[in-house]
Amino acid sequence: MTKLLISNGELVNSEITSVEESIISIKTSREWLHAQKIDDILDYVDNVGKNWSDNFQNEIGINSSHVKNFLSKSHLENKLDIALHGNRHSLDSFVDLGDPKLLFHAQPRGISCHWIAGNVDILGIFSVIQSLITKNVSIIKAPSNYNLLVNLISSLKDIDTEKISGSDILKCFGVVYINKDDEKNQRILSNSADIRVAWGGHDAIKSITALPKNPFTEDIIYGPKYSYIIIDEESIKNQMTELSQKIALDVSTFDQYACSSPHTIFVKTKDEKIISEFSDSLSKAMENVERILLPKVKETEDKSKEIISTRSEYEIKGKVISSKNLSWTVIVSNEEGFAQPTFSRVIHVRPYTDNSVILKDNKKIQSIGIAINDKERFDLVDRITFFGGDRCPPLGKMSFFDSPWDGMFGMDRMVRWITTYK
Amino acid sequence: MKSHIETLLELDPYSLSQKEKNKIFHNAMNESIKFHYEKSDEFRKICDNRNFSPGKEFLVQDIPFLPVSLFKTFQLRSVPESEIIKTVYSSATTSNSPSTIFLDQITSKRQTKALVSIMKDFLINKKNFLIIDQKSDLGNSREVKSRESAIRGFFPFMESIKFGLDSKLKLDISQFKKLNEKNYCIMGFTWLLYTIILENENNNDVKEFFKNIENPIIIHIGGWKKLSDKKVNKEEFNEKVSEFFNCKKENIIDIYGMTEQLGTIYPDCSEGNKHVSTYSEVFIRNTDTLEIENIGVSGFIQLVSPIPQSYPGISLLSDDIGKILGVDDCSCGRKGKYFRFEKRTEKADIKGCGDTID
Repeated sequence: MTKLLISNGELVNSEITSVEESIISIKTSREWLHAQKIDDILDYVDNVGKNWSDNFQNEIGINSSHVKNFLSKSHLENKLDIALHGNRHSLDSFVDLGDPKLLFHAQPRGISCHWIAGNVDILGIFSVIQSLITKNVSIIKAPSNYNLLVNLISSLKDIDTEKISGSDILKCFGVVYINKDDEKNQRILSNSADIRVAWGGHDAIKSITALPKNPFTEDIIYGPKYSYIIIDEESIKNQMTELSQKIALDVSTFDQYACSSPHTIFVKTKDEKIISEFSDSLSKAMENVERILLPKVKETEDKSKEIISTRSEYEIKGKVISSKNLSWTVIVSNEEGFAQPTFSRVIHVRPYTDNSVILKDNKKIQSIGIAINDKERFDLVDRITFFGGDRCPPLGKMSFFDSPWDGMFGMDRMVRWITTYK
Repeated sequence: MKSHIETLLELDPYSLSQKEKNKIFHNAMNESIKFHYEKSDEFRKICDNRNFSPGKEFLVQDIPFLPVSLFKTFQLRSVPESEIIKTVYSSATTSNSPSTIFLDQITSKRQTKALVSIMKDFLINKKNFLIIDQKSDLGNSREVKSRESAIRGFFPFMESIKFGLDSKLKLDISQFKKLNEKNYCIMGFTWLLYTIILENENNNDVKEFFKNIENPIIIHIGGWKKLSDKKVNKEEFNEKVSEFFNCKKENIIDIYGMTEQLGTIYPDCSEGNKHVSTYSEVFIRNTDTLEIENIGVSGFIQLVSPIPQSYPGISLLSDDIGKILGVDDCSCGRKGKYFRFEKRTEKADIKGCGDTID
């Protein structure tokens, strides 16, 4: 079943046989969006951030304040300037970027199609906003649990600023739900894209990238990636409770299904007692986060079975501290390398060793949460990220979307750079 | 003095009420758990991690369970390797690696005793067995697949034995010509039986053979995983079997059990319920909280039995979902708990982004 959810500035929610009409419809808004000034668009997005944070706080959850901060005008001005080689006004006209002979203008690529994963729907919103502020119209292929996404996008209609009307903005977005077996419409969507943005795990990304596309289409792939944490003895000694709370948040946000969710914590210490004390502290924090901030959503039977199996395996190989039910699990062992992810708040604590697989080529690594003495941090991060890893955020903020993400400035990839002589 | 486990195995499988069974069963489990705690490092580590001490008072439901998947990742033994007489491998339907179960003389004898006592309650006389499978080596090989092992378990009930399939798992009609009319039990693995029926349901020659056999009993084992994948339910299966083999539906016995706890099997009674014998216990656990569920509520099926001595498989959490239907009050007259198997847990579709690490 394929459904048209939002099209031509209206909430639709009806079954369709083809997505073609919505693609034709969205093209009509391209020129209007191109004519808007970037500062006016950023004003509008600033209001969107405030509106979503006020009206969808419960639905967005722990990321709510981050959404507001990320969409704030000053923040996006800065991020756009950095991504667009120093001057966001390149989106409006030709600007001087320092070349002695050339002027530069960033033109939108056209239609941006977003395949948003159900496990991280709120992260997908960030690529949609990045498309808007680079003046691209968007068609969003929503996941099956699309309610929040549809509510957020349709709310744009009710947000007006002095220069921009929400109803005009909403016409720049189409939202469709395409059943995974409906290959015909997946192909139509992919063929019409000037930018394909894909969020998801290995299987999802593989099937999206296998769809036909125009040779000039730009692919922005967010996932599949693996994330982990490195902390040292000094950090644990100085701020064990605080660190544990931050890590518990990183593990529990998105129930560990995001690319930026950590699955392994490497502890730089030779003292097993430190690892043991830290694991106990982390367990308490996991319990508190589940109880107070992020109650666990019921898992599938298959996932429950997987958690039970992992727990039993490591009861034999190491030590397992867990909730009485299946809400969270802390696994301590002396195994080397990255733990196989179980997801669903199962976190492994392992000693850091220099000869571990961390120091081997691995382009699948995304976030490396770091709590290391500053004297050592930059050298260590340089050594590790030579082999893999896209960002080294502070603990507690691993799943906060940022630019660059997955090692690339998405907004730069969403524009074509035009030059003319001075 | 006889051990509590041996005493338990002397009892009739279905004549004790749940209350009468509880004390005797607890004593047997107490004996079993102390043995495995001492002999199996892996089992002891699991008990210790869950703060379970066999030296303290406990309820049977408190005994730490091992997920059956553990037998795929570890070679679990509670006796020296020299005492192992057979190694049984599961059919590995849900993963690529099979479970490995090590049997010593004591365990093997206990399993046979339990299986014979249970099946005597369902098959009163010896039968001529027609096995819907290929002929396999049922000798004294040290390594046994679970299908062979299940067939072996029924030896004591076999007046004669014939195999109905050739080496390519196709019906071998030449075997059928030697059948006489009476006292037949047709036995097969659920998915294989169904496949053979589908392949031959329009074969009048075969159907003619079965018309001449007087009311056979059909025993099928091995689980519903493959048929569930094809969306075939039990009613549909029974309909096909009854028509093809010309038998009454109440004579179709679906046997639930697992390689990781051979011997303690759970055949359907005439009411379609699976009864828990004196030799084992079944609990249903909530798939989220792992708490014991009440009668009528579905969850993971946990199987407890003191029979295994050579490996610590005395309390297992299966991959199966089922529910207890009642205790001591089934219309068939058997005492104790009775339950229904509902399904094997499905493989989840949604995977996180981190599913990329090799």
